[in-house]
Amino acid sequence: MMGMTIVTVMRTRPRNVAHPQLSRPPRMHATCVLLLLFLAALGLLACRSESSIDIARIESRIRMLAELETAESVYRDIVYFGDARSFLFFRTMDRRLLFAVNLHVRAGIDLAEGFHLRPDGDGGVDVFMPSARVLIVDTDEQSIHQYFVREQGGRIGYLEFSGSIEEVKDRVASDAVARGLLSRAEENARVLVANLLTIAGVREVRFAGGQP
Amino acid sequence: MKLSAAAVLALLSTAVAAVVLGLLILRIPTELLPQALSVLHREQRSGHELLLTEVHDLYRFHTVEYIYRSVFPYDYMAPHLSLASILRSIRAGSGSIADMLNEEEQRYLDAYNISLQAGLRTDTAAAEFVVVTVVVRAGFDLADTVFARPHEATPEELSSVFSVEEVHNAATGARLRIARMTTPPAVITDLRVEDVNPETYPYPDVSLSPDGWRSIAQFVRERARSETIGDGILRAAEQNGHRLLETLLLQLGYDRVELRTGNPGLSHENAGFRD
Repeated sequence: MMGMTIVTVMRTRPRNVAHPQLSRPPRMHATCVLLLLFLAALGLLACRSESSIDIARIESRIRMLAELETAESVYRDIVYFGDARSFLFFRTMDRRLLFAVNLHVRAGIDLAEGFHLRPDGDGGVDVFMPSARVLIVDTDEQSIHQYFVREQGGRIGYLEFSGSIEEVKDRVASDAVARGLLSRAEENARVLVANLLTIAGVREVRFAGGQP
Repeated sequence: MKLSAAAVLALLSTAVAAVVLGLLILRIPTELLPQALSVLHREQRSGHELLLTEVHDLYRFHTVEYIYRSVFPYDYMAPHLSLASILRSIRAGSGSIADMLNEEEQRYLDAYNISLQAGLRTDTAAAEFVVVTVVVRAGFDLADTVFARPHEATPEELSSVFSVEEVHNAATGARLRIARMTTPPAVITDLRVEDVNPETYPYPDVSLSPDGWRSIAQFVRERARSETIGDGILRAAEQNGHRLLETLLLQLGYDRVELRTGNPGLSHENAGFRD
């Protein structure tokens, strides 16, 4: 739920108690007075809302990783966002935005999902490691190019255009995978691991899948 | 001549009926009629045009991840400072602004200026803010090293990266095989501003253009880089990376592993690592 919530406290206090001419309220039917009070109470309940912007102190954290990132596809996304409102024939709001941004799809292997070596005692090693997968789909904010923005009758919110980018991430990842990103990432990861093991004295490196 | 309300209403109704009939006679699409006749109308549209521009091979080994989160601009505007006090310092001093202000004041001024450019209201009445999350990863970039392209390395380069020493243990009579490996220094391998998902972002929306967001993201990114490096992320990355490599080499049958940091780059490459 997005939106500022504001506490409004309505105070009702007779302001004119000391005034002699207004010391007596005008005569009204009791039922009407009760009805008015009831309606006022309903109105107060409808207007009252809480303001509790709880900006908790942000923490930073660190964690250990064992991730090989071995391939990347970069997409250029031209994004259009438009929102127009009208009352009868009058345009009350016209918001339009056109910008471009790069999306990076990176793939590789998370060794924490299972990486194991089994030497065969004869200079060879069986390597068990997980398959490559898409590790991250992320926008590159430095690549943003804003073509134009029109904000008549209202400004464009940060969550509006970021939401429009979130919608395409799955499509971008699927396209990258369809174009062979995962096989490229897995091949590069195997090359890297095989090179490391060969440098470390292993004569034959065999990749045997995910589980020993 | 004054017209009564009823007469005005009648005229309007006649005009609308005439328009509708006209549209029908001219065979203009009548599905537009509800839209034209509706009192309130809203039209939203969004579109994307995606184009694959680049494909890269990467050889990054991430060993540590550090989540840096900040509230822009208030995390960079110390409460004991104010714009008035900073401007006073500038007026009283001489030389460049960087010389007149300390780091805290400079950070305050930068955050204030970026907020102004981006359209974020920082006065107490509005108090707009954005929570920015930066994911900082560190480890080893192996792209220009012998680990990525050993076939391009000279024998001397290969032997400087890895060597094995056999030591005779006089007490036990066993022969110990000690593996020595050189790794590149740990570097920041990835620094990205996490994209906000409106469905999970719990804070109020703010009026911000993509240009404004770019400025804010760049500012926070640079602060995240310097602060995490200062906090020792590179040391942690190196330690964890060495721990992982030690485990791997012990699995190969070596009795002891010694890892050191050096330059296992290829001699014909400019093997400069990112900071």
